[in-house]
Amino acid sequence: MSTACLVRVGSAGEPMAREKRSEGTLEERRQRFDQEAMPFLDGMFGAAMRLTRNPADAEDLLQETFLRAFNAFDSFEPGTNLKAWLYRILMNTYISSYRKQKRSPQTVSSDELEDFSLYRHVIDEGGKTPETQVLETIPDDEVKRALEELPEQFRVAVLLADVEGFSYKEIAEITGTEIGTVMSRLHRGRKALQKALWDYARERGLVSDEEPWRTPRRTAGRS
Amino acid sequence: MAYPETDCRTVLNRLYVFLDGELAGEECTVIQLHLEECISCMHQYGFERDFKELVHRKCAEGRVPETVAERIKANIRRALGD
Repeated sequence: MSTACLVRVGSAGEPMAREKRSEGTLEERRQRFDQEAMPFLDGMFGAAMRLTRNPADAEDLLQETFLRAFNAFDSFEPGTNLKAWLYRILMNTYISSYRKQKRSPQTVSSDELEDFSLYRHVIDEGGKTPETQVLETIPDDEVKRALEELPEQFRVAVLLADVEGFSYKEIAEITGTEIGTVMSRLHRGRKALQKALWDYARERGLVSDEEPWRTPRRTAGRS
Repeated sequence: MAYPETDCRTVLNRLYVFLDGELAGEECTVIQLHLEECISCMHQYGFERDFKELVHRKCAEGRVPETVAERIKANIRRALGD
């Protein structure tokens, strides 16, 4: 709590490239790219998986992203945010080459999940103070699937903020939107995800109708 | 303990922005003080904080498979004409 007000300054705390840009050889550029950009591969693999929803397409997306990033590496301004720069290329690549082939962007249906608050919902149903404990029993793959099934704009906002840890300002830059739009998509995306997970927990009998959050009829295997 | 409803509403409206570490200065302090004293808002804050953490943990993918990383590096080398 006490540190909550130390606002971070537009960075996810990631390392940045510091050296002065030099007109190096191609091989030097490759080495620099290896050292500075490749460490982000792990995180970007996860993001690519959530965007494309399968490993083969995720790899294709990453291949193209890193190739584009390498080719554009000379235009990267050392000392600025390399992680955000790479994710911007990832998003642009996804939009320009991958998504076009697959499906048109989902339009966001506005109303029904607009103001679903799981917390309020449980209390209004007469439940005790809700805790996320029940959601903990949902397998990771199901949570990932619920995220993947969100309308794209919501999915991207939640992915970048909550999974990848980007600031609003960074997300605005990565997605080419206003900060206000980021906040609104993030808000609605989280609510939609809560609703999806709540529905899942209900369907699987992880929560009882009588006492939400209190008496799971079945407990998932402990890990 | 009894806060004017409007106070709580203001805090809850800004809860995500506060949670995301995007508030600074007086507005941040006001919300922090309110949460320390208002159990109902604090519970909701705790819930949203735990939910954010849960999504982070359960949706992380871990390391990229070594074979994938190798193919990506090889592809860049190929592009260099090696």
